[in-house]
Amino acid sequence: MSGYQVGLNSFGSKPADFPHQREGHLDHLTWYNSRPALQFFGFDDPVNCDALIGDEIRITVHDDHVCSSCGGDVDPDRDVCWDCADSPLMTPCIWNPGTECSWSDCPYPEYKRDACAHTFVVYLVAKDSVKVGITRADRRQARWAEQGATHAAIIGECHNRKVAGIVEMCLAEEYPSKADSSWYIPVDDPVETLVEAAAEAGECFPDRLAGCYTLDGLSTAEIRERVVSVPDRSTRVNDEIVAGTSELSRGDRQRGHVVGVRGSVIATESFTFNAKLHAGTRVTLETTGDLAVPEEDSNT
Amino acid sequence: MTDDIILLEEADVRNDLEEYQTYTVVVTVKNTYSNPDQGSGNRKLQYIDDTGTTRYLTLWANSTPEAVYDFDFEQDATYTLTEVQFTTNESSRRVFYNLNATEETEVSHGPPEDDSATNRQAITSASEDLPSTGVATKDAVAEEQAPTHTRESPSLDEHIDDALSEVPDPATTQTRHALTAFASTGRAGSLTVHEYELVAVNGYLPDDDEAALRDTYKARRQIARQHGDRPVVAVVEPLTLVALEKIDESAIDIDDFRLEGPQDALPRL
Repeated sequence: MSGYQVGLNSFGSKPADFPHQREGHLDHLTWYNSRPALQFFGFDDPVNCDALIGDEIRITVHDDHVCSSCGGDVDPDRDVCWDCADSPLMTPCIWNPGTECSWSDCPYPEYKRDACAHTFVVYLVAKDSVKVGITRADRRQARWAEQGATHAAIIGECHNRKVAGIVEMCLAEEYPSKADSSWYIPVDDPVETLVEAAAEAGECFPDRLAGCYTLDGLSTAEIRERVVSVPDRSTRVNDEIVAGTSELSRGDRQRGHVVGVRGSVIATESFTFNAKLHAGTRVTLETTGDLAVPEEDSNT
Repeated sequence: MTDDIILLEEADVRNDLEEYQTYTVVVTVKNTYSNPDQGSGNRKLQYIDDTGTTRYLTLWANSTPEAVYDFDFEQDATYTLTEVQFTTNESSRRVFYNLNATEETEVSHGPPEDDSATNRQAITSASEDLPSTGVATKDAVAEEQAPTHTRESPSLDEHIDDALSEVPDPATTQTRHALTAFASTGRAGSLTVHEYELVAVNGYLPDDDEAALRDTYKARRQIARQHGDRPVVAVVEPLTLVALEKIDESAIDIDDFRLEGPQDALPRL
């Protein structure tokens, strides 16, 4: 016995043949340059998820793990190491900047300079419902793709992370800011749903930050033009079926044909693998296809 | 475990607690967090200690009873947690002070109940031994509940003041340029600009203005490539370029053109 819990589809009549394999501690699923790729700690090249679509894969989620933030050693009962736990990105001032950031008395001035003192945007995304979020303006596209949104619209442009966090906090009373990362069934008519929410969102901005609302005075048609679709690889996916399949847990091993990738989730016809839930965990990915790495962008 | 009851708001855990000891702690929760990016296994109770430092008591899913881990902690409410362990660790020349719930931890609303004279004695004697260390008597615990002792969270206006504290006034007005930044606080100093013209050679002539403009951009790329440090070069109009530094025309090889200039350096804003 392998010692791993396997799905029914792993007992096919044809023996599995997986000539390509990557085993390592998982980092995250990145959408840099709109291309989904699985990053592993200690590997220079990520696994190109585009190359997996249509191919059969087998994923084994092992029990051991490293720090999900830096890839270093970590106590077995912890997800992140002591160093990371007390440093950005893992500190409450990053999760809830609206209330927890001490901007003028920041304990992490270098991080503030590098990551917080920049133009931030407040946005709405369409998933199974409309959510609010913030991100540094220059990485918005990657952020939306990592979240697995289908569409997004910028509604606010703010001076820094804390200003954006305050606006997000006010908007969170109307729209949730926390989202489940599992595969979901998209909201009906996401564009119109976003347009409607974005047009009304200005009312939630605090008076003193009303100038941060970027859609003031725009017509519905103009707001619609601001809605962008987010890259994914789910056009061939039946969301109702995939959203109802099981999600791999620690100790599981399953195989199936990859039908799509959205956000942090790789979907097969019989199970999903949510990379976000297994950051830091040792994972073996085997495939009948090539573990090609994404090509370099010719413009960079 | 010690019999001491630690009122965290009046304690300085760095000095008051002993490593690997477990304590009963009274904590006024300023907020609770569960960071999904850290996985599903942690919950942190935020409090402010006697030094004004924001600190956290951590519940780890794997080592905290379910009833405690899932407890509905309310903001600004006070709770008593038993068997909380204090540890330290040092990393990157920083010392971290950790309060973690254990498998024996229990939680209750408010300060601990007055259920035994022995316990009270123990608490009192502890506080007498350490009068200024934050180990509190039950009276002190009760006193802490009085409204006059409650620390208020900053208001929305105070948060906005803080968030805008380093933003110059003119920058609070948007430029109205989507996805750029906010208005600058002043004008940039004057720059010296060198103007260059592209002169066609070898009988070549662009077909029209559009072709000439394409040739100009192509020349700009060739100039950039042929310099070790890429100079700042911009296209002004077809066959005209400007640069922020002098370019050695003789060292530049451009298809069908030669670079001519600079004309007299022109001061520009």
